[in-house]
Order: sequence, then C-alpha cells, then structure tokens
Amino acid sequence: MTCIEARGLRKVYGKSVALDSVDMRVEEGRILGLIGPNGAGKSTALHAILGLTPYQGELKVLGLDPWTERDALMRDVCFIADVAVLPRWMKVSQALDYVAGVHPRFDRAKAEGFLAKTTIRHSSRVKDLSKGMVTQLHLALVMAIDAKLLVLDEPTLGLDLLYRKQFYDALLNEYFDGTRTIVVTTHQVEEIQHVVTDLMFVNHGRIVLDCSMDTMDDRYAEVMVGPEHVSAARVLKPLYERQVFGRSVMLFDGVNRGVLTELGEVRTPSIADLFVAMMTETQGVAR
Amino acid sequence: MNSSAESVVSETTFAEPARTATAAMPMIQTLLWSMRREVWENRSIYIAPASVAVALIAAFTISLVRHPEVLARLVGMDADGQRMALVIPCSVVAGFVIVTSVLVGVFYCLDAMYGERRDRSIFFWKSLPVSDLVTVLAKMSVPMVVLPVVTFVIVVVTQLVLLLLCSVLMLVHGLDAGLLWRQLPLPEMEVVILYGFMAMTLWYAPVYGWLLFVSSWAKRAPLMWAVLPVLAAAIVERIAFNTGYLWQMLKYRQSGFVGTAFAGIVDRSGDARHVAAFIPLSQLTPGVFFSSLGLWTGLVAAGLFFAAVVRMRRYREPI
Repeated sequence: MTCIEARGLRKVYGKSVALDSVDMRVEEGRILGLIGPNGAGKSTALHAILGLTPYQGELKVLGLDPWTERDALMRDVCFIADVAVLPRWMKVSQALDYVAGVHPRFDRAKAEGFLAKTTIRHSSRVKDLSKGMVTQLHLALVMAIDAKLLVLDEPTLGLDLLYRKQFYDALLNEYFDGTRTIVVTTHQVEEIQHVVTDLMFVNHGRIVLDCSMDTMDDRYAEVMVGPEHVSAARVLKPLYERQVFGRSVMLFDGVNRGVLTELGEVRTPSIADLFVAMMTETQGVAR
Repeated sequence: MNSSAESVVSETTFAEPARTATAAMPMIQTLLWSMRREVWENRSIYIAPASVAVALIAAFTISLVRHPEVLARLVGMDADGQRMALVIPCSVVAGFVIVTSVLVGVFYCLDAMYGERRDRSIFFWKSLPVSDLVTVLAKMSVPMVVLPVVTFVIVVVTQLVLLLLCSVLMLVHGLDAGLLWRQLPLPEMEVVILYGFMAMTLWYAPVYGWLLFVSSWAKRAPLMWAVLPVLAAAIVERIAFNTGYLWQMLKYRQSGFVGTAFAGIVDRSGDARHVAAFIPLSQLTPGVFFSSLGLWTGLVAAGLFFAAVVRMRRYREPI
C-alpha cells in the first residue's frame, strides 16, 4: 500500500520556487530519510504532506488529500514539524491530559512509560524544561500515538549524543512495527545511516536522489584509488573525487565492483559521503 | 519509492481504495478539551475578575470597619432609601468585575490567534486531530461563554460575601442584620445582572470577532491593527465629509444594547435613582432587544469574522 504519493508537487513563495514539480512515492512500512541543505524544500514538502500549506499538483497521503481532508488525515498522522513548538505555559501533566482528551489513538500509559525513563516531572512547565527535555517530552507524546505515518523534522536537534542514540533505538525497537511509515529529516546524516530503509536527497526544490538503502549499497561505491590508477579511474566518470592524505577517493555510480577492485580499496559510501558528492555535483561546485 | 527516471505511475495505482480512517473523538469532547486548554493557558480569565472582586471586598471591609455609622444610618432610612443604599454598591461591584472581564476578553482575543503563530506552538496544535473549526470555536467561546459564566459566578459570590460581611458587622454593632436580606431584592438583582451581561456579550460578539480576525491575520502588533485603522477611518471621514457616521457607529456598538435591552428604564428619564432602586423585572425588554436590528447585524458580522478566522488559521503560517 502506498503511504505518500505526489505527482508534479509544486509550491512557489512569491518568486522563489520551493518545490519544483516533485514526484515521489513512499510505500507503507518504510523509513524514509529526507536529506537536503537548508532551504532545499524539505520542510515545504513535509508541510504539504501534513496539510499545513496549500500546493499545486497531486498529492495523496494515506489515500487522502492533505489540504482538503486534513481533519481526517490527522487522526492517522503524527508529526513534529519544528523544534520547541510545545507551548511554553503548558504543564507536562496538562500535555498528557490534553492529547489523551483529543486523540483517539493516544496511549497515555505508553507516554508515561517513555517519560519515566527521563528526568521530566509531571508538574513541570515546558518553559522550565531544558531544550533537550522539551524534545524528549514531545517525542514521548508522539511515540505514544498509534499513527500510520509519523513525520519528524529534525527530531534530535538540540539533543545530546547519548539521547539521540537512545531516541533512534526507541524509534526502531518500540515504535516501528514494520507497518508504520516514518519520514525523517535531519542534518545529522550519520545517525540515520542504520535507521532508514530509503533515502531521498532534495536540493533546489527537486529530488536529486531517490533510492532504497539496499539499492544504494549496490549502486554506489567509493574507491581509494592508488596513484598509478587515477587516470584509469577518471575514465569511469566518478561522481565525485576528493583527496584524502594525498590519495584520491572517488565515488562511482553503477560501476561494476569487479572493475573497481582493481583500482584500489572499495567500500560502500556513507550517506554523508554520498550527500556531499550529490550536492556538490548538483550545485555545480568545481571539483 | 521510485526514482525520477521511473516516475511514470499508472493511473490505476494512484487511486487507492478508501482507507478505513480512524474514528474521530466526538466533536463536543475535542471542543471541551480545547476550551479547557484555553483556560489553562489564560489563567487571567478567572484571576483578573477574582482579583478585582477581592480588592473590592477588601475596600468595602476597610471602609465599613472604619465608618460603622454608615450601617446605623441605613437602619434609619425609609424602605426605598434602604434598597437604593444596598443595590448601588452591589451594582458598582458587579460593574467593576464585568468591565474587568470585558477587558480580559479583549486582550485574550487579540492574542488568541496571534500568540500560537508567534511562538510556533500552532505546529503542535495542528499535529493533533482538532480541526480549525473546533479550535476557533473554542477560542470564540472564551469571551462569549467562558468569561461571562466565570464572571457572573464571581459577581454573585462577591455580592454574597459583602452581604455576609455587612450582616456580621451589623450584628456586632447590635443592629438588625435581617434588614439587609429583606430589603435587597437579591434574586431579581442577579437576574438583571445576568440579563444585562448576556445582552452585552451578544452585542459585543462582532467586536470579539473583529479582534480574533485581526489576531489571526496580523504579522505583528495586533492591538495596533485592531484599533488604528478604525480610528483613522473615523478621522478621515470627519475631515473629508465633516460627518461622524463611523464614530456614531462605534459608540452605538459600545453601548447601544442598553437602549434596547432596558428600553423601559431608558424611556423614562434616565434618572439613576430609578435605575438603581427599582430594578423591576418588568423593565427588562428582551423582546425589544432580540428584535433589534443592531443585535442581528452584529451577530451576522460576528459570524462572518468567525468564518474568516477559521480560514485564516488554515492558511496562515507561523510568523
């Protein structure tokens, strides 16, 4: 079943094109990492998916039009659209009460369970919590909602390393059940390397890469090319080339691994390597 | 997932069969929770009128303790004089508390739609299955229902506390405290206050609607946007045409309900003695009020503002 499907999705703010005719399709049960530089259109895409902004083109989320059928959609979709959006005046207990009161799929016991692992007290107000604790609270609320689609825009911003790790562990072990769909954006690309099943790079309002992690492993290879093979390697048109300790590291797209092994040490690139390569290429930066 | 190269999706796969969407919470339940959260956020809804009430009780207490002869003088008055001497302070107390409540309502409305965009908490509220309609309904209900109910309860409690206080003081000074309870037409007085308050609230509905609309629209300084354009328009009218229709309209919207809701009293002479001393229920004219054009044009305007606010909440993004 398809969770998100967009065709010709377009959004223009004044003269700037935030989304330029995007086609995308996310199947149910996937964890999609949406990666892109600031202003690439990630948030605009998410806002369109969540019915927060009008758009041109066709878009269906869980079979519903997010702009016209938003009220129904929000029962099955949950999101954190920005950091620190919990109202500052609210008490933790009030947040629990309120979400339990209005959300048919909120499991209060589960949220209390997540909170019990933190140092957050029920009587605290959001404004008295640290930035990291506010994020923890929001994640506890969101992860206790039995949603079909969870959208997280920079969920771990402001969290320390220890909690970021815990968060993704909890997301995978306690939240993700194989049928839910998760869309996550982050600047910390390394931390989602082993979390996401699919990867999408966005730049200048366009999707510049869209593949599953399995495909990525097959398609892309990074080679530490020995000096004697550099010109031979360049003939194979590497996507990107950088110098590490005086040696060339080249990233290839769809070149047979057998061929590459003869040029030097081959490894699968990290998302970060691939991201840098793709962004440098699409932004036309000289190599 | 499909890469841009394989993005040709057949028409048949696009139209998914309708999914079994999760049933919604009953609308009344989400509305009540949303109203409750407005009260959590805006504690001034009850703190402000209650504080004024407490201050008034303190002021009357000090005054009566310092000048107990006032109570003795009360005993010596004729029945009409006694009623007036009791009704006037009660009305003054009610007036102060109600004016406070209206001010709270005005400032509440100015911030209600603006604040959630400024602090970006709108992203949290919108992540929950509460529609824009229910949200705006809950916000509109604060000046229209929540504040009046809370305020009326505070008024009644304040008046009862003051009466009890006077009774105690009279007993202490060996006076007939029963006089207070015999002479003050308490139930009638509360009915008049409730009726007047309700008429005023309905009359002010377009004002609250306008303030909510400005709050939902303005990117900054909603108070300025709510007041200055209207004032400017009135001044321009005066200078350009030497007329004062807009100004008259504003004044009418401020106090026009008195003339229709209490048509009986105003018709007579406007003598304060009559107003205060005899609040006979026969002088309330709900018929005149509810058939007045001013009320209904106001309610229609409030309805239009309400619809505009719901729409604005859908489109407006955080500031």
